[in-house]
Amino acid sequence: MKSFNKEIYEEIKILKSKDPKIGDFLSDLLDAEQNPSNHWKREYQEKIKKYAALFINHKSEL
Amino acid sequence: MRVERIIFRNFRQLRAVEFLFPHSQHDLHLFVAQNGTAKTNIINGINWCLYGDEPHISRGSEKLPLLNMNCLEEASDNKNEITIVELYISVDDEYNIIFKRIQKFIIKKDIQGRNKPYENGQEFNVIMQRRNSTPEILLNDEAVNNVERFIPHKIRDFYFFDGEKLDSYFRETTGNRIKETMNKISGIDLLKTILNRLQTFLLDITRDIAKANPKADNTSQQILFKSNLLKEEEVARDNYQEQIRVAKQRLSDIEEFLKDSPDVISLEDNRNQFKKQKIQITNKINKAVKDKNELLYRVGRLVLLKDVILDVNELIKNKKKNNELPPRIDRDLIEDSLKTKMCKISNQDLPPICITEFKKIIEKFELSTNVASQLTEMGPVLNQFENEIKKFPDLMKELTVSIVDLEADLKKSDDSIAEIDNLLSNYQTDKIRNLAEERMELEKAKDSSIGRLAIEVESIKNLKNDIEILNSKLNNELDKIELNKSRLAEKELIDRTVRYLENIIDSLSLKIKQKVQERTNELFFSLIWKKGTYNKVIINDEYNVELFHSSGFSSLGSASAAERELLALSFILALHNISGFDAPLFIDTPVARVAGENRINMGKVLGNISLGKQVTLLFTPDEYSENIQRELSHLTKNKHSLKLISNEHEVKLEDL
Repeated sequence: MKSFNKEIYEEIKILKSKDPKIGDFLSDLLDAEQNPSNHWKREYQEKIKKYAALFINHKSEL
Repeated sequence: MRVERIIFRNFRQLRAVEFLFPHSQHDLHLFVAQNGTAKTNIINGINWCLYGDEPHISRGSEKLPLLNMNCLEEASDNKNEITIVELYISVDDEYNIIFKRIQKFIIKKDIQGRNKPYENGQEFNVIMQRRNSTPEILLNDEAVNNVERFIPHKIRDFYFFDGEKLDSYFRETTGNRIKETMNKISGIDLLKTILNRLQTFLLDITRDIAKANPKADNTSQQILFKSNLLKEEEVARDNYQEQIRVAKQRLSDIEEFLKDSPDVISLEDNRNQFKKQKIQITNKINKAVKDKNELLYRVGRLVLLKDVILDVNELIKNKKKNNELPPRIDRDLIEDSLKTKMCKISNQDLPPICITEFKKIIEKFELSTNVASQLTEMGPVLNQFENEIKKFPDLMKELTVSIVDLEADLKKSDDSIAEIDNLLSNYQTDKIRNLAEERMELEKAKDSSIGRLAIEVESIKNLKNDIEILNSKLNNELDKIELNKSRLAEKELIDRTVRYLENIIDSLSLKIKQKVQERTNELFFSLIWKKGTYNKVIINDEYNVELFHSSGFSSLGSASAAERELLALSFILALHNISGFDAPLFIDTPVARVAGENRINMGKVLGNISLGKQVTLLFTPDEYSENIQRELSHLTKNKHSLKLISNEHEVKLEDL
């Protein structure tokens, strides 16, 4: 359901252009929150590990 | 989101009524019904279906059963009956959802042979069909969760509301409630949920990392301790805010009930005073009557003998004057004293001079007659009688007047008691007294919560400051130790996301608040007739709405009911507009308190809004005046009236 204020999407868009990894991570979390489940803790942990790994790769690329 | 269809079965006066909401260019739907013709039942029915309550129920209807009266009267003994409301909504062409609530009843006859409905269980279910998917039936908690997901209970007042209550909207709604609503419908709440969850992970990861360094571990434990404390304080703050809101809401309801009611407590106090006074007066009357009776008994019979008493007394006085009466002496005593030559009073020997004098007295006494002696004794008694007879008329008059005056006072007290009884007999005094007492208690509780809230707010501010200092200290300490790369990356990821999120939340809150403020101003000044009276609407940092007079003073309190209603409507429409929450708008009696130019403007605004939003308006015939018809009637074909049929227990829907 698209019940978000379009301003939120604007903010995420700006964040993605400034800091794509964080922008993607937050966007992913927002999508997950749109369909809340009882397993949020595990989902968050998986996402944190996934994006943190991207973070390390990104740093090593630099 | 749109309401597509509502089906009522046996819901109060809506025995078998179906409302359809076909979409056209203007998504506008008009219903016209006299008061008492189920108009408000439509909004109550929607609320009952979704949330199980009827927030706009009138005092009269509260006492009536939910089950339609005709259905109840026609039912046989022990028959099962049901009330059903079904609400069909569509969401962004993606979901079709049916919310359905069923109340079961069993009908039994009471001792007078009348049918009475007894509740026999309730069911609530949701049928949800996502596009290209099979329908899913949700029951119990899952069904309730889906209501919360699509039409949260917390913000229902922003789409189903009573136009007549709009003027008291800002009195009943605290800034905090508005802030909560804005956060909810704009999605900021979701961001806050993510923020809280990430902060929890951040604390865990930081503690995990800090274990490698005792100093950092200590600091991280302090952060954890303070963070937990902060959470507790925030919960306490929210509780106090909620308590204040609930108290204000209840106080407002009580005020509404008591505004036309007498001050029962004072009146009852007065009545008790009059009753006490009455007892005192009655006691005084009884005493005066007793005194009067005693006087009559004692002096009244003397009055009958007045002439005799006066004559005899006069005779005695003359005899005395002529020395025809002996002095008042005790002959036996004198004779005895002479015999013993000793004074029987002082027990001393009599001196010769006394003996001579006593002998003279005895000689003189020998000369008196018994009658003369009796006359001498009667003199003082008759004098007293004469005095009492003289005073008798005045005393009688005084007592009589006093009794008459007291009886007049008694009548006044009786009249006052009767007047109060009469006044109170027209009201539900027990309820009024209880409400007045509850109001006093609530005022105290509210003041206490306001005081505690201020303490919590200060404490939260201090804790946040402490945590920030500790975090900076921890980062310095962590810089000095070798860290696990992946844990560090996780920490950095969350750290940065949390910082971005905090900034986004702050900036969004500010932007949304400013936009709502701008839109409220635009709408309010397009609606209001007196363009020059007010200068601007400000939504302050505490989300309190203020209306500024052109002279610069805050003037919401002195604005008229119509002006406050226009402001509240402007504010609600601005919230809908800015939040992006695509909800329908149902307004009961939208223009009841607005007349003339304001009413025309209101009609125009509601018509314009219906271009992008589903708007359903429930008018009384008076409201649906020519000027409103001119503004709205041509915008929609979905126009109906609700009419009572037969015995007024049912309504039917007719095209307008």
